[in-house]
Amino acid sequence: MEKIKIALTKGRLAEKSIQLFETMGIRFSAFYEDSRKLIIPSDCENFEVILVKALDVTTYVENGAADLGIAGKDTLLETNADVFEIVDLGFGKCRFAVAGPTHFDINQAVKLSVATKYPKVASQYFSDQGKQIETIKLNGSVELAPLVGLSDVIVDIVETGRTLDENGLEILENMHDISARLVANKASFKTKNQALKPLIEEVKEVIAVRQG
Amino acid sequence: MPFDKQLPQGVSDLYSNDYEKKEYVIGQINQLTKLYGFKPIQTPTFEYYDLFMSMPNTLDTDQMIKLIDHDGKILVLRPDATIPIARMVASSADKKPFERLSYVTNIFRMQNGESDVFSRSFTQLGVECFKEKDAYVDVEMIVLAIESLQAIGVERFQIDLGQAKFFQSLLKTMNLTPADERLIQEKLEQKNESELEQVLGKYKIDKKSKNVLMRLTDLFGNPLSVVNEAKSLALNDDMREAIYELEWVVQQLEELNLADYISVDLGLVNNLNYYTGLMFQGYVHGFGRSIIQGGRYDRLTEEFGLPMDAIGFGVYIDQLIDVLEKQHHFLKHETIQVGVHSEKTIEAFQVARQLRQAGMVVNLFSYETELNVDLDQKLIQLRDEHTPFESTEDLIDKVGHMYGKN
Repeated sequence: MEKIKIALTKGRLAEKSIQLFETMGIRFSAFYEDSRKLIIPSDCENFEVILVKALDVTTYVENGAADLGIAGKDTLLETNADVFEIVDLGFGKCRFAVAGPTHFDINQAVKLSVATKYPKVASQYFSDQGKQIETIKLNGSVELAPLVGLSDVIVDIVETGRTLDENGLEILENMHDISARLVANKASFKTKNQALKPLIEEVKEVIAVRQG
Repeated sequence: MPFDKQLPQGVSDLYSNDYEKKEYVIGQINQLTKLYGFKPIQTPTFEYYDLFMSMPNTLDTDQMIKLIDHDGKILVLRPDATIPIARMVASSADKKPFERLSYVTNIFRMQNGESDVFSRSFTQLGVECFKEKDAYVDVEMIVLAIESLQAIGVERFQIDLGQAKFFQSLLKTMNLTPADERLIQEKLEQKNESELEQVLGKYKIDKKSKNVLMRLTDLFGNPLSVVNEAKSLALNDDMREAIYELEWVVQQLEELNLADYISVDLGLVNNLNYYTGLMFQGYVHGFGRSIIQGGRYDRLTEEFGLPMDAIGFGVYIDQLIDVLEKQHHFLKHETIQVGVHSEKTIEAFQVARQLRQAGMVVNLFSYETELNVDLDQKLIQLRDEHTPFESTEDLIDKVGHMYGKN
């Protein structure tokens, strides 16, 4: 059988994804052995996991370097990749939110400046509301921006809200809910369907059981 | 490197070897399209922006590469092959010669991404058949697509069939706004079951239609089983008709022993404002993008005032070359070259002409060639081997022999 390549987001999402495969009986022992390896074969050797950065998962899948991928809805929205988005995995739950200093009024700002790792998501959200904004693309610690006067507000993913709280920011508007998604390359999905379909069906079953 | 010597993003030079491959691929497929009665045509490289703007939602206008004409009008570099051809057919006074047209052309699209994977100028070969709707033509086009890939030796490919009318007829019964329809189409196109369900939850749609829509995300694979299931899902006559049409095409392909190349996906709903019936996409095992796109578009020429049914498909030549390279299809069969040397240059020119007439590649006065002819010493040299010759006829005979062997 041909190997199926699966791109995973390095870090916590990869751990949860690997756990999901384990409940299906697909083990990746090497994942726990050597944390610096980027390509990890499954014990049965039918699958191969590639560990990449969050925003790169869709790039690998869209171009067919990986057949499947697991990525957060946040990165799917930002990259707007041409892939099949087959299963909502239900884990990695968080949401997109606009956050800023307490009592900041978004509607008062003449030209709202927004610091974010997700400039496309931010512009889309505000342009849907007919608001003009100025995006400032940052690569991390976005919470800092309003504190030092780089921007008025931020658009970021929020899980518990603790980081915001500790930095004296609060959620001003909730945008979308986010969770991890199983995505597939459009060509692989068709040409390797015999191998992929049973796997996808099983993922759906496991998720359905988990969600009761 | 100084700016003036660089290439802009998303374009590339093709060196002789690569260009030969491209010529070969185009040549092979065109031989076939000619045998099917397609006649080559060409439309201008740039046309008015308004031409493409007037097509509702077919192309992303942000992706068009625009120029300003001297009178201030906006021009765009050909962003699509079919629309200009439809315009050409509809505006021609003489309708007769326009039935089966083929083209090889560059398409230009602005790619706004940060990476360079998608080129901004790529070559597409395609055929368009303007003729009253006829199921035989639909079958013939798919056969041509399959034979085109076979002609250049592509292995393990698959033509995925869809039927635009099935989904369109279902949507029509729901009375949704265009924006809502687009949203449903987008979720279905992504096979995004969970979000489709959420979206459908917002509208007042009867349960039956909702069920069918949800089933569409998963209605793909083996042609006959998909068609059979779809029959039981059809809610109105238009949907039934769409499925019977598709079934007939599938049956014909089975009887032509082409079933192995075919799959069906009723969730194939991209470019729906363009296609009106059968649609298809070609994929190759282990290659991440489609290499063929096509379908029936019976309403496009109407936009130009002449209603005429049509079906066509395009082959992405550059991607096809990548596929062939991946499948190791271009064996090195470079032809050898003959060098001809003499003090008497006129004699060398004459011998060279005779060798060329005999079909050999001659690179006069070059010592880089594998096969060399010394007219003054009457010797033919192939690597370390020297062979004498008598007359010019003897020379051509012997060189031809060695040339053929190498």
